[in-house]
Amino acid sequence: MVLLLLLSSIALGDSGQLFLNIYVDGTPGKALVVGNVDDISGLAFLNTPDKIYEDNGQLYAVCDSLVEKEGDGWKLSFPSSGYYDEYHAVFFVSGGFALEEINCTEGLELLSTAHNGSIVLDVQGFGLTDPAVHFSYAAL
Amino acid sequence: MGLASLLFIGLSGMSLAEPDDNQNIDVPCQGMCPHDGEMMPPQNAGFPMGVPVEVLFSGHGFALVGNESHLLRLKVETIMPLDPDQIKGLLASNKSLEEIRDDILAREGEKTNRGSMILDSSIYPLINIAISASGDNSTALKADLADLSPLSAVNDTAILGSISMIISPSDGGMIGKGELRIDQGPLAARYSLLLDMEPHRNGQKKMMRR
Repeated sequence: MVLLLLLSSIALGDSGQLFLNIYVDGTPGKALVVGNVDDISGLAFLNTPDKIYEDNGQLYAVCDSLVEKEGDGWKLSFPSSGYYDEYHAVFFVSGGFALEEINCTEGLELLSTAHNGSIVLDVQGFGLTDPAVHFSYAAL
Repeated sequence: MGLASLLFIGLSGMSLAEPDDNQNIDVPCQGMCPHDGEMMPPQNAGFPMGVPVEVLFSGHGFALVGNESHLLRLKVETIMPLDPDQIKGLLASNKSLEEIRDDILAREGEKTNRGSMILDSSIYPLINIAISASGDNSTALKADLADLSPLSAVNDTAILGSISMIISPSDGGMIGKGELRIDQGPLAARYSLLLDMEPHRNGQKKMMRR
């Protein structure tokens, strides 16, 4: 049944692609989102038009709702709704933090690295419904 | 063959998608981290940070060795570099989004390539990416696989293997054929590659739905 629904959504053209980079400053609270996504309505945190700038298909947004304080550290939540035939989100957190825990939709593949003191979390997946990424991090 | 492969890959991809089932991973600061029964690379040198501009190559297919076949996905994109200091400055400023875009686009002349490969469920960053014309409307793509094992953490340029492909027109589409070599780890082997390559995608020409 699930398979039929998924096939139906593909046939109806509801599938989409998401290629976004999300940059979080070491002083959490703000995130810069840059990239492109076929259907922006799947990203509820971008539902305020004045927070988004679109230039020839390239999306620019500054969000203050993605990161929240959690214990001694911080938690970033990146939900999306809809069906994505290709999903690729790269998260960068700069300022001397370390990843603590990652929670994401089954089917998403992860690669985490650190580069010049910044966390890099590369998340990719294919054929996913409502993919979501949550991860927590704390100061080194 | 291409259609059968695409259908198989599509169904396999969908079978992975279980939106109600989450994977939860604790990530220590050092060493390997468990990931869905496998080991997750540690935090160390990654691939370049930047704003994705254009997908140069994107394909999916198979890596074949002996009578085994493994699902493989490949993506190479052009990015504009964006360093942590620049991000910090942009987020701390009161610049408008249009001004932020202008700041980012100011580095357009420094474009570079970033790529990655997924073999089964393991992601490998690509480094030393080289793209060249190969005659008959074909393109040669060569890259090294960055080694993210703990022992290589002190060396940003450690290499785990390499990939070499020729991407050529075929039956109205594009296919990639070549070889993948992985020197270490559970997937170490020399593979033959066969990929369906997707049409060229330029993010700046694609419009979003609202």
